[in-house]
Amino acid sequence: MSSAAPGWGEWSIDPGPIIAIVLTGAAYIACYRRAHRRTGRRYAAHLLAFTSGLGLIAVALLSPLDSIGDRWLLSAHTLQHVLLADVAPALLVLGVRPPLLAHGLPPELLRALSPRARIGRVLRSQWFAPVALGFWVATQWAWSIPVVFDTAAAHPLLHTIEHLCLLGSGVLLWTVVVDPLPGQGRRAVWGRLGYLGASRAAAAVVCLPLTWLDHTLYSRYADAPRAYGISALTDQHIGGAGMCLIEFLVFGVAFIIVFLDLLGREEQGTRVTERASQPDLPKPARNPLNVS
Amino acid sequence: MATTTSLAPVPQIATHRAEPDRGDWTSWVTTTDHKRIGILYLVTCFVFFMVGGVEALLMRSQLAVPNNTLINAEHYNQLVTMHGTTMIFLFVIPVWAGFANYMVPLMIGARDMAFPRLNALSYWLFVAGGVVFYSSVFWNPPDAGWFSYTPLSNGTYSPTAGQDTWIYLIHLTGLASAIGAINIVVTIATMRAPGMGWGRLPLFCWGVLTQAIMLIVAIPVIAGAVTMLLTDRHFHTCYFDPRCGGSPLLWQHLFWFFGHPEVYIMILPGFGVISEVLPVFARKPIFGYRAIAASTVGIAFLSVLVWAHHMFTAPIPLVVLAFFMISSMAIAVPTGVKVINWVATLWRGSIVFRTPLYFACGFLVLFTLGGLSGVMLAIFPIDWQVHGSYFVVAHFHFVLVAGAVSAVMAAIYFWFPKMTGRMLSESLGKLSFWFQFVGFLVTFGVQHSLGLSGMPRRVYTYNADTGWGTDNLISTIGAFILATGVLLTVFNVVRSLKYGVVAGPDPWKANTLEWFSTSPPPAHNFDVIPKVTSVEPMKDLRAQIAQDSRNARATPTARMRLPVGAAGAVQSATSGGGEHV
Repeated sequence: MSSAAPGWGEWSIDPGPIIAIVLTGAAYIACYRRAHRRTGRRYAAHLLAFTSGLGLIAVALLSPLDSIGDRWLLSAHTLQHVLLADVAPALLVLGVRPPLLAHGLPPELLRALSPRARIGRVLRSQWFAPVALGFWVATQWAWSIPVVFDTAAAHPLLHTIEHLCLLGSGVLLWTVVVDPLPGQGRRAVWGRLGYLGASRAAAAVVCLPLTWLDHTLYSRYADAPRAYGISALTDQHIGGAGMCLIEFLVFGVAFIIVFLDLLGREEQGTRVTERASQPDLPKPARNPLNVS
Repeated sequence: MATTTSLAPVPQIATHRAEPDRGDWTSWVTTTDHKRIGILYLVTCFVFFMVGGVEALLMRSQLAVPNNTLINAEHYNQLVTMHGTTMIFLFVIPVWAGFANYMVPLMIGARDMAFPRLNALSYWLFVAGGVVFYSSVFWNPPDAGWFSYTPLSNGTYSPTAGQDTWIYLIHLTGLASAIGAINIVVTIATMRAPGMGWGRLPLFCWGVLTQAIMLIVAIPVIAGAVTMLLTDRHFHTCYFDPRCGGSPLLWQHLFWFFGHPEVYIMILPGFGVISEVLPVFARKPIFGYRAIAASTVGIAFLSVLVWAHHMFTAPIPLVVLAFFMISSMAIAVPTGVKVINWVATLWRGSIVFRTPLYFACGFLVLFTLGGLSGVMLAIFPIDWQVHGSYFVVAHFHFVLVAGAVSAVMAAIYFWFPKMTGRMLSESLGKLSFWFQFVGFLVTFGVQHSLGLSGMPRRVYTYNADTGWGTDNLISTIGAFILATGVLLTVFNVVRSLKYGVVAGPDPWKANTLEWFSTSPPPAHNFDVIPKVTSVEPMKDLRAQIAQDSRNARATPTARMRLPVGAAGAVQSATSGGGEHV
């Protein structure tokens, strides 16, 4: 099989993703401006996170990564999937974390998301988190089955559905973890750490076999022209290890941030309860944990 | 308008009937009291520690000079296996179970563990594991090393029952650890004192809780692996035998998938001890409580995906090595966060130089050095050069002896007064520290040099022309200095049980709830469980009682009503220390 280099100039001008990204960006800017008008605050970190998320989706779907992943390298394809399922959704949801939505959404949408409305009830249901996790795990596993993966890569419509599933399940999972809904309160839900741990374990089920197996799994890439002189097996190892590494870092950092957030919420909740039971307690100090 | 008056809470007796202490040895054998089980754990672990230490000294004596004939090759292999297995499975892991058993219920304001009988079962399973393992010395001890790589440990190369006792040891102590871990998790999750939210949990409890969760995740893997090894050895299965389709590499994966979290299982409670000791003797709050707690759980989360750095010389694709190199280096970040926070805790503190602080500072220095050589070994081209050499031996002893054992020593000197009501001798303690510190550096510092000059680990002798003689002699001398330091602590403990100064409830003016009770605590721990209002509840109680005392002096007719269990807080608030009591 000949060794060749795929082109790095092959940017896609597929109108579907472009329109979706532009519309989403426009909606976010409107939300951002409304929140800024109402509160006078600048949500720079929110803006940076959301635009980075959209940027990563653009990189995943429009850059040469897409064509290289389609026709040459499994490792490029797995990188594309990690960006769509793990990294971009995390950034998008971080971009709408509290208090942005509460101040930025139009009243009719806020009403739809309120606990009394149907959508709001679904999102706050005790079943939402396990269902979101289950959907994410099922998506990760199902689209990694060799026959399914190869078929999806060969059929554009199926491929688009695969990408939508990855992105959608990622957004749902990170919604559970980040908890961006307005009016959700500041309860410490320690199950969020459990969901992160479970998603880490589920992701490892996909990336570890790719990293360690001594035979190729995906016939499409075993038979593909060899790019950059990388053998099919090495390509698979790079794909698996890269997937493991990115998820390792993303989930690891998220785990620590969520843990810190939960400790803060827990302490805040305890303080509120104490003040309610003993109104003569002094106001909480600036450093409520009495620690440096 | 009607006026209301608030009354101070009246102490209540929460225990309606307590089993009278029979006072004989059967009361120890049948006990379900967490404190007694903790002491049983600690005493048993130290017996094994002594045995493992003697095995280490025998090995060092054999290596002191070239071509030594004190011990033959077969016995040397057996000593290596017994020493490693004893120190890991019969000392470092269970010793934390001992401290956790004794201290966690007291620290969280509980009267016992959630499942007291399960707690006793856990201890006796651990003892059974040790007895089964050491019964092999009467026949054929195992000799395949503490990680029992196949094919060395299969039926062909280890045909005797010694290897089977190793397998049963893992089964029994693994079951003990898993049961104990479940008990710890349930206890901490459900039995904390009023007001003790997760953000106020003592850092030792965070370490123990995280360790327990890691045990629950990791133990089934090693239990499965040793069961597979057992069936390979006796029922002709082929999990690890390449002659019939098995893979020796599979054993390495399974063992190290357990083995690397195991490193953190051994050290996380030690981190907790250091986080408790430093603020008490620096006389200031711990710096970065949340950062230390978060780095503890972060280490646990990350540690399950770094195991292959123990296998860098196995046939593994380069890109996979690169992944495990980066992930192994990443895990140094939360560890570094802890070290920085500990140093910041000491910074500008009103430091009281007592023996627990000596060991905690020794830990900081030596563990950081061990961590640095760990980062070096995470770089796979460096690991290729020194893998299987004495450099690796030096590294993991810096982490485990300097890390875990220093923390254990700090814990002993810190909590001995609470457990026995007596203080340990400060002068003997400091002497013991210096012997251990210097002895440790002499023993293991020079082993880096031996490893870099090519001396492989697990060789029972070497030729004079290798040039390793002097370094080995220095290392052996250091080992005996280190052993002297440990013996000084043992002597100190035995002597102080009878002659130690009476400690009083809170001799250190410490921060956590175990010091609220008497020393040693009564069977039910507390008559009254206080309400926790910060991460330093004892400091709050002392302040409150001091304020009440001032009020009482200002209005002599007023009566103070103090909770019966507030012995520690009253004593330290009014007298400020216990040694003179």
